[in-house]
Amino acid sequence: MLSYPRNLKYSKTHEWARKEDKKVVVGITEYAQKELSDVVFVELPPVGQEVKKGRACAVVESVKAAFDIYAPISGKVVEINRQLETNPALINTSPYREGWFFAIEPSNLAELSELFDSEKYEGLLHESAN
Amino acid sequence: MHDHHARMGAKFMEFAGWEVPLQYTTIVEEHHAVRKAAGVFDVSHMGKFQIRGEGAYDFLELVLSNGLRKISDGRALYSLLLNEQGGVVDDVIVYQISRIHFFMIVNAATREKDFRWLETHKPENVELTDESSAKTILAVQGPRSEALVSGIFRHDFKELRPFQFGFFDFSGESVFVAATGYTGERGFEIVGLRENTPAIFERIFETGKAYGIRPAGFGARDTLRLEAKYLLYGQDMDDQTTPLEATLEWALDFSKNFIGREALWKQMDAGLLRRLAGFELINTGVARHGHEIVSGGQTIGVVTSGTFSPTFQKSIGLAYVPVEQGVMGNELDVKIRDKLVKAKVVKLPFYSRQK
Repeated sequence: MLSYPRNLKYSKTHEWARKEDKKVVVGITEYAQKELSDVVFVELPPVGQEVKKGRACAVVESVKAAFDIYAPISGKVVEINRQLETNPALINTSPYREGWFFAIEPSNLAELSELFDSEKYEGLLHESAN
Repeated sequence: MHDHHARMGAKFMEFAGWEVPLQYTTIVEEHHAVRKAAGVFDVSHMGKFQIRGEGAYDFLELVLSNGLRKISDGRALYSLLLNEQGGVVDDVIVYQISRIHFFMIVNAATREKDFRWLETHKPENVELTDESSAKTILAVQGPRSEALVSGIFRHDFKELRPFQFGFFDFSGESVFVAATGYTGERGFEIVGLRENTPAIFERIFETGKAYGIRPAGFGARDTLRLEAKYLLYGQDMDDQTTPLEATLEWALDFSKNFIGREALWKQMDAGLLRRLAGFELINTGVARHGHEIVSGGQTIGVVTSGTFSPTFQKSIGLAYVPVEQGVMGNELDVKIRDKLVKAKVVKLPFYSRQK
């Protein structure tokens, strides 16, 4: 059973966003990590980078292929998960916690409400499976 | 078989018009299972031809680049089919059942092309039949495959050496088993009638449980074959590349006449311009098909196959480069997206099993 925590927001490109005080932490969902399978490298944006909602800002290299990761909201990258440099498999084993990618200082908080809640995201997954 | 695979958790992908299992658990797990224990691949999508008749031997000697003199009844031969320009039409394996009866396995994507090619060149006294959809192929590969296949057929397969084949009884049916494979491990390919396949598949898993058998998909098939430097037609060579460029000169027999021989002689006289080389990335990244090879600011070649090797934990690949750039240890750059990543030419194959 794949899980989609209720306290997160989701994008249609399978990223999740978690508001934490002044920043929004971003990662990829259980569904995405399963699709990617064996992650070997992650290219994260540098701290300070401006990102735009819906634009590719990171890359995940799995054994199978390279995948773009899209910023779920716009803003500035204020933190990146350096653990992924030495242990990219965290994305597969702990996509919602240890496998987080980066944190954004949002430039437009309204964009957060444009993202899906877990029920809607799960619904989208079931739709595309059928 | 689709349901059988789905029940085992297969995630599917499209390949040559077929829906095939990409992976069941993860590519890396399946890869390691084959290198350490055993994995089973359903490669039924591949083409299967029967070539029969008085003229079969001579016909095959003409169309195959490799020499049938290298084999005898009960043995298989890897060969190429070449066009008049020396370009590769396909790579195939031919099994000599007798001098008037051969079986050939060809790539799925080129099945129709190969059939037409053979039809065009065959004489009256040769019968060519395509039985691709009537039969299936299950490949059991890995160090434990011999014990496993012996258990399934209740026959000791130690005697079936690489590239030997035979017919063995399975519940009253005569099943073709060859000691061939595409992974670089000891392995066997089982060709059976469609109707019998689910039963064989189930038996593989019943008997195989004790050996740690895993179903393995095309993702692992690709990482395994690349490590062992098995080429993939359509990616590593095509009708615009010659076997000399593709490092397949060992699959040629110049002592007999074959289609393409003249063109290859000409190329040898003129000198090769480019050749397939193996490389590994020195810095972080994964080289993939289509990535450019750059040296001194110029694009000098292209990656034909690339991946991240689960066995060696680094990115490896094959690329066509100018002959003088393909020397061992030569450093090149691979252009991955917009970055140049350092690589060096290494000896092939990347992996060979301990005998």
